[in-house]
Amino acid sequence: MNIIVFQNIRFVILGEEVLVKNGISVTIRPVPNQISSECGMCIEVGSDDLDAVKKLLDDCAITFQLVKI
Amino acid sequence: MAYSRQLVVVYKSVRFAEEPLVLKEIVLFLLSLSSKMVEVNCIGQKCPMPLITTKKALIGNPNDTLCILLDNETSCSNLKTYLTDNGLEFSVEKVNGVFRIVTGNSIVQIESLGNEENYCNSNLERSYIVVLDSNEMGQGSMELGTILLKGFLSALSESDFLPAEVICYNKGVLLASSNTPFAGYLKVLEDKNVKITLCGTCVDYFGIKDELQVGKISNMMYILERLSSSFKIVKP
Repeated sequence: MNIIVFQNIRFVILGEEVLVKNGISVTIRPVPNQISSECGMCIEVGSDDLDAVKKLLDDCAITFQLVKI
Repeated sequence: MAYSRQLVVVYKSVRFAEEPLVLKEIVLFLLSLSSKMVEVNCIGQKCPMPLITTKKALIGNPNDTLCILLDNETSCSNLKTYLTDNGLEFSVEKVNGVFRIVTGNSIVQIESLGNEENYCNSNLERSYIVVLDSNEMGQGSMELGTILLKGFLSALSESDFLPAEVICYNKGVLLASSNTPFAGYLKVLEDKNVKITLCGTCVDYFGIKDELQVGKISNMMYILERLSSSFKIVKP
């Protein structure tokens, strides 16, 4: 499972908007218990989209962390 | 047999009326003349047996009126839901602790009868229903409410203790529309055998019938029945 965690919920909202607008399939989900994060929500993405996701978020200067669980 | 011949003659004579509803009424009336009352005794049976027995009786007597006898409320409630979902009219009365469900003059679509096991809710005390009456979770910020609801539905679908049903009304029915990202979240629940019920009046009000991607349309009588018989209702 590829989980992207963000600093706060505003980045989650922005991140989802950017990814969906660019045709990436995402699932919003609560941050799994084994990951600590300041924000309670995260975005799950498919393995095939990882490179595109990283580029899109970087281009928008959204700070994120990718966690594989 | 004589009634059947009569039925064919009358059917042919009224088919030119080209009024489907009137025609259906006439056919149902004539069917009622030729039908008989079949007693289905489910006294002492625990769920899912009454559902299985009733389904067999429906298949075996498609044109007859069934008089189903039950002695426990859970089975009665489950059977009522099953009959409603399969488009069967019925009346219920309780006499001396025995529930008596009499089916009306509906034409049974045998091939589309639902799986009775899905209606067995014998752990009624532990099960719960989730009510979604909005396309956001809580009040205040709409964008926050939207993301919270997605998180809620995602967590719900991964829960070890799934709800028996999710009932959507008012703006909650918008979640089932293919035009929103929520339908996918509800689909995951439906794939896990969680029943998704949509208020028909609300679907009509928002004009989204052709866009529905998930769920089954039902009415207020059904929603009232389910909410009033559920031990727990969760409303995010």
